[in-house]
This record gives sequence, structure tokens and C-alpha cells, in this order.
Amino acid sequence: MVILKFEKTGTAALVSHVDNLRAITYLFNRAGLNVEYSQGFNPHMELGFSSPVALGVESLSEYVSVKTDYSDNLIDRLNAVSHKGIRFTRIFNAEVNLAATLNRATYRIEAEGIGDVICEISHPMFTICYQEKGEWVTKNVASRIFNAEKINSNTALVTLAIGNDNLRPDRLVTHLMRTHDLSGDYRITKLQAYFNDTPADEYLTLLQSK
Amino acid sequence: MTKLTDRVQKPYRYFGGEYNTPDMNKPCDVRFCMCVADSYEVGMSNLGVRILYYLFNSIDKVVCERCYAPFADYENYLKENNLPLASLETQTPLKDFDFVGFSLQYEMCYSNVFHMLTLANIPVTAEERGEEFPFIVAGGPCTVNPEPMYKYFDFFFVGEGETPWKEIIEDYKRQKSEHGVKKSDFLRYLDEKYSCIYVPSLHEAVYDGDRVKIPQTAVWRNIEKDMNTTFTPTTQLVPSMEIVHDRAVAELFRGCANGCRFCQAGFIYRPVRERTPDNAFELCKTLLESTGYDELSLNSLSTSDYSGLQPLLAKLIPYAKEHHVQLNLPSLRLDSFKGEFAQGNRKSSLTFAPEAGTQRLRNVINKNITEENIFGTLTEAFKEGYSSVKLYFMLGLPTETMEDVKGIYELACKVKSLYKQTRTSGKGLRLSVSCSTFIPKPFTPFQWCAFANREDIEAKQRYLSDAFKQSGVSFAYNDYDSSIMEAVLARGGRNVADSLYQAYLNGARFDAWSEFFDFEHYKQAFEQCGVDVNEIIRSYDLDETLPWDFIDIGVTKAYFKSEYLKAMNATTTPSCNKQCNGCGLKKHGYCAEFEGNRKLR
Repeated sequence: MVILKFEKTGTAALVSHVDNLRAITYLFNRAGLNVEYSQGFNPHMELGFSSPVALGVESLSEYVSVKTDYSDNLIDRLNAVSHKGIRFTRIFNAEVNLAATLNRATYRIEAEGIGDVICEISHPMFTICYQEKGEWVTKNVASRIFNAEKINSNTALVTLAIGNDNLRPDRLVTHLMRTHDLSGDYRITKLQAYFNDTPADEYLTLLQSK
Repeated sequence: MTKLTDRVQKPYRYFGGEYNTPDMNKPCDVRFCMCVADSYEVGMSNLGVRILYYLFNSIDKVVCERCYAPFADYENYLKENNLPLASLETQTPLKDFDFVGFSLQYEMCYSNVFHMLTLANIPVTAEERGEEFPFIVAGGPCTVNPEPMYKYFDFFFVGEGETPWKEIIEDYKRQKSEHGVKKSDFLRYLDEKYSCIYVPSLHEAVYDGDRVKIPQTAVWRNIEKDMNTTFTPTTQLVPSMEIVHDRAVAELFRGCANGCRFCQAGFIYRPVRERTPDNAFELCKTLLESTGYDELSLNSLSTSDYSGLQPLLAKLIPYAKEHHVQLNLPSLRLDSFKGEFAQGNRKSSLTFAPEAGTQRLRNVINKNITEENIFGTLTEAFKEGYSSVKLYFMLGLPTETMEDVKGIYELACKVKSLYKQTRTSGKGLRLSVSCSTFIPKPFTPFQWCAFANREDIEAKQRYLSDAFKQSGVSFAYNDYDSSIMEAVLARGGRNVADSLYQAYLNGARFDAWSEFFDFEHYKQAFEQCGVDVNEIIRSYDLDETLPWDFIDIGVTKAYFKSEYLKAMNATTTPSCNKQCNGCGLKKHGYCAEFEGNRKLR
């Protein structure tokens, strides 16, 4: 099994997880990858993605596993046929369930005034409100926040849970902007994924050497 | 960007970023924006638009971008942020292009043309648009009757665009670089040089009392001669979101030899022009390799009539198997591939379009399909395990009686009992019957016929709905209001033009979408503008001048008349593949008789 790290930026960040899965399948076809297919009634390429990012969130740290042979020039072959906003950056020869393993991510948040209010999310009783299917939901999310750091007035770094029991960064940001009356556009970039405290790249490199 | 995603569903629709997007940064003198007045998902699926998009982008110093109709959420986003409607690729406002072209694929998209021009801050009528605005042009099948939209476009292109459009753009580029282009001069130039171009502002209408007859000009539908050599893109855009036809599409041939009398496409795309099987196979291969799609559709009006189907499938089926590609063959009769293909694939549902419930009425409409054909195929299919059948019919066909409507119900009952006798699995039969409402379209032998009245259609729909209620057959039909609107848009002349824009002002848009269509917008507009709908949908005398008579699609009016008279006698006309029926194209050197369909002279 091969794990590929890729970026999903620009208009690719406007693509939902399900649509991205299909787009990556076509991309692998274009690269002529010899991929193992699932057995059964409706055979499809067996791909495993890390947990989905919310629509509109750009990411420098997405991962996909694919059953194909490892080769050093794979990255170049894929980038030669990749669509706008998708760029492959690393390859690992490892076997892992990405969605189940990678459980944290660090995001950069950019919005006017966000840096000045970010420290409040470290409070052990921190709750957020968001709309889900038209209903307002209030939730204590403190256990899903691992780090919050001000870079400057308009930029902050946060580390949040991904996968099961995750916290969507866009919900966190819109909550903060609403409660502090911050206006204007905002931008979120996923910088790094982790397995507990270990950065994903480091973890995958360790797996590879085993 | 993130704010947008909170407000707008599927924002990718408005920004694109598809694989195989041509180079938008090349040096360019001419910018063309190709628009489809429907959603991204629908517009992206259109083959004609795809061809012209790649054609324009293949020309030196020409860039072509795209734009589709925005839904209300993005419309509001644009308005609130004071942004004009812009192209996907470079987000250039539409008014900064040299040309803004609309592909009119169906009449019900007209209100969205106004919608897009308005959002782009471009005046809707040609008269109001000065030199600072681009040429607003239209192409596509609806231009065979351009009159309802005559005052909104600077010019119409009638017919197939590959060869003339390249020349038009080259002409424009040359004139622009030599001495700049004055719009009125260029329109006169086009009008004189190209017989497939109609410039409404240069042609006065002839009035008969207060009834608009025709402009005094003849416009010839352009017909490409040889599918093997005409411009064909060897790739297509691969969107990162699902569209209506999300697959590679290879066009096998243009035109249809069958001459079904209700079918406008069967006449306005004549004659049949086939790709050779080798050419078609190479096209399929390059399309699949360059897109990475895992599904391929072979496209045409009637795929089972393709003379090269067997040799093509002999190469394509093994290729598809090896590369995990699913083959789609729309419009294909099961008996034409003798089981070999069907068995390799999933047993999805089978679709038949008998169109009418009795053989008499099928003869009237020249739909050369008999009950033996249907039951022969179904017997084979049921034995192989198929258990889902869809049947398509039309209501309101010329000469239709209640006998014919009962025939629809009886045909469905026969399919059910056939399944009981021949089925091999324990599964129950899933049978669905759909009845659309027949619309007498221009350039068909039924162009003189009236559109059926409401009481008649609704009574027939009620009858079938009641009959099917207890039978376990799912029955669907078209709403009368949207059908009558389509009839008015298709058959109207200049006299309806004002009411169409008025309907947009009343709120009409996305009329092809049943969830958005509201007949009230039009009803009010007709009252406001004094349009008598009954005058448009009535039957016409055979000698009457029709609003679309000045367009020459190559098939003569005399032929349509003879077909009309044969229809009234329930006499059929054989396929062009069997004999030349004298439709008029032969005298221009366009006929299926030449070189076994493949090449025109």
C-alpha cells in the first residue's frame, strides 16, 4: 500500500469530500496507476482518505492510501495530470487506516481580530453554538481543542480533533466571529495532521521503516 | 473565500478549476464567453458547447471561457457584494468579452438568458447595447425558430458551428487588429458573408394585419460534411463535482434516418453522418485516457442504427473490460447486440419509447416500432433476469382518440403478463410508464397541428392515473402548464418577444426545473403584453406563412406537407437507410445514399 500526501487549495477547497474522492479516482486513472480494485458487484478503486476537511477549508496536509506499487517517480507522474488546487507532495510505503489513525490537525485561521480572542477557547468549559439542519446546537468542545496560539491580531493557530468526535474549524471560527462581532471574510488552512502528538509525516516515516 | 462557502451551495459551480482547462494566460486578442442558460451541472454536460469551447481555444490569440446561470444563493451573494456575473476561468465580467454566446438547447431556458444578462449588467435588448458591450449571440437547436428572441441577440447562428465559427472569429480578429471593429459594420459583414447567420436588426418583419409573418431573408442551416475530419475535441473538461452526464462522451454520428414525425431533432440534424468505427474507437480511447473517466457513453440520436456498431464494440468491449470502464449505450435496442453486451453488464432497467398506445397512432407518428419488436426483446431480456422496464409515451398526438390512450394501459398490462410467463427470478416486475405532452414543433410534419387543449390532456392523464392506480405500475406525466409554455416558446413569432422579458421581470427563471417553474409569471406577462396564446398554439393552414419559414434547414416545406398528409392517413415512411424519401437534402449533395452514410459531397 502507498500513502500519498497532497494539498487541496484554491478552487479544490470548494470540492466536497465525496466529489474529491471521484476526482482523485479520475486523476489516478489519468496517471495510468495500476490500482487494485474492490471485488464484488460494483468494483471500484480501493482508496482510503484521511478525515474530510470542511468545505472551503484549504489544506496542505491531506492523505490518501491506494493499493498500488511504490515507485519514486509516482509524485511527478501524478502532478503531471493533477487538476487545479491538487498537488502531491510526499509518498510513503506504509499500511495504515488513515481515517482511524489521524486524530488531530493544526489550522491557521485568518480573520480580522481573531488573534485577540483566540485564547478563550482554551477554557475548560468552552462551548460553541452552531446551526445544524436549521436548529441551534450548543456544545462543550473543550476536550476537542488541544492548542490555541495567537500569531498576531488577525492570525491564530489552533489544534483540533479530527475524525470521530471532531471539531470543525469553520464552526469554531464562525462562533468566535459571531460572539465577538468580528466582520469580514475569514480563511482557514489545515497545516498539519497528527497521530496524537506525532506529526503525520513523522508517524508514516516510522511505519515505513518497520 | 470561506464566507462564500457558508452562504452558497456547491460554490465550485461558479469557479471551476476543471482538469483539461485550456491555457487562459496565452496572448489573446479575442475573448469569447460561452454561456449556457442553465445550471453548471446541466450546461457542463452539453456536447455542442464542449466542441465550440475547445474549437475557440484552439485558435491563436483567442480565449474562450464559460459561464452558467447562478442559483438564487449565488445571485444574492453577487448582488450583496456588488459583483457582476463573471466567467468561471478568470472571473472576468461578461461585459468585458468581445462575444457572449448562449447555447439555446431548449426553449425553457430563455428566461435565464435575461437573468444572466441582467446579473452581468448588460442591457437585454440589442438596441440598447452600444459599442461598449460585447456581441450577444445565440446558437443551438432553438435557433431554428429565432423569432421569439429576435430583439435580444445581435445575431443568431443556425446549424452546426465547427467550420463557420472558426472563420467568424478569425474575421473578427483580423478586422479588430487592422482597424478596430464597429459593431454595426461587423454585423452587416456577417449578414452578407455567412448564410447561416441571422442578424434580426437588419431584417424588417413582414406584417399580415397585426400578425408578424417573416423577415425577408433566407438563412441556411450550416451542415458539417464529414464527421471524421470536422473539428472534434480529443478531450473534455473533468469537473471535480458531479454533473448530469459525468462521463466521457463520444459522438458516433449526427442525424437520424428514422424520420419520426413528432421529432424535431430527426429533421434539423439531417442527414446521417457517421464516424468510421476506427475513428470512433480512437476517439473513445483518447477521451478516456485524457480524462481518467471510468464511464463512457456512445452518443447519437439512435445508436442502434450505427452501421459500425459491431466492429466498434468488438474493439471497445475488451478495452473497457481491461481498463475498468463502464460502457453506456443510450438509445440502443437490445436486439442489436445479440445478448453479448448485455450479459457482461449490470441488469439495469430497460427503456422503450413506443410513444403511442396503438399501432395506428404509431403509424401516424411514423414510429417504426411494433408490439412484436417490444415483446420479442422483452422476452429475451426477462429470460436473462431483467426485471425493470420503463415505457415512454406522449399524450395529445395528432388524431389521438381515447382508444389510443387505452392502448397505453393495455400495452403496460401485456408487459406485466409477459413477465409473469417468462421471468426467471423471484423478483417482482418494476414497471413505470411516463407520458409527456406532445408539442408540435417547427420543422416537423406536425408543425401545422394544434397543441392539445387543457381539458383534453388532463382528462387523459386522469384516465391513466386511475387505471394504473390499482395495477402496481408507477405512472408519471408532465404538468400541462409547462408543456403549453414550451409550445408557445417553440412556435411563437416576434409577437411574443416582449412578453418573454416581461415574464422574467415577473420572476420567471429556471423554467425547465419543475420546482422553479411558475406559469403565473407568463400568464401575467401575456396579459400585460397582449399576447393571445390560443393564436400561437392553434392549428395552421398548410398554405399559411409560419414565423420560422425563412430558415432553410434543407428539408423542404413540400416534404413536410407530404409527410403531414401521409400521417393523416396513418401511412408510414421508411428509414432513409432503406430508400431516399426525397426530403430535399439530396439536391444539395446531402443524403444518406452517398457512400454508405459516411461522407457527404
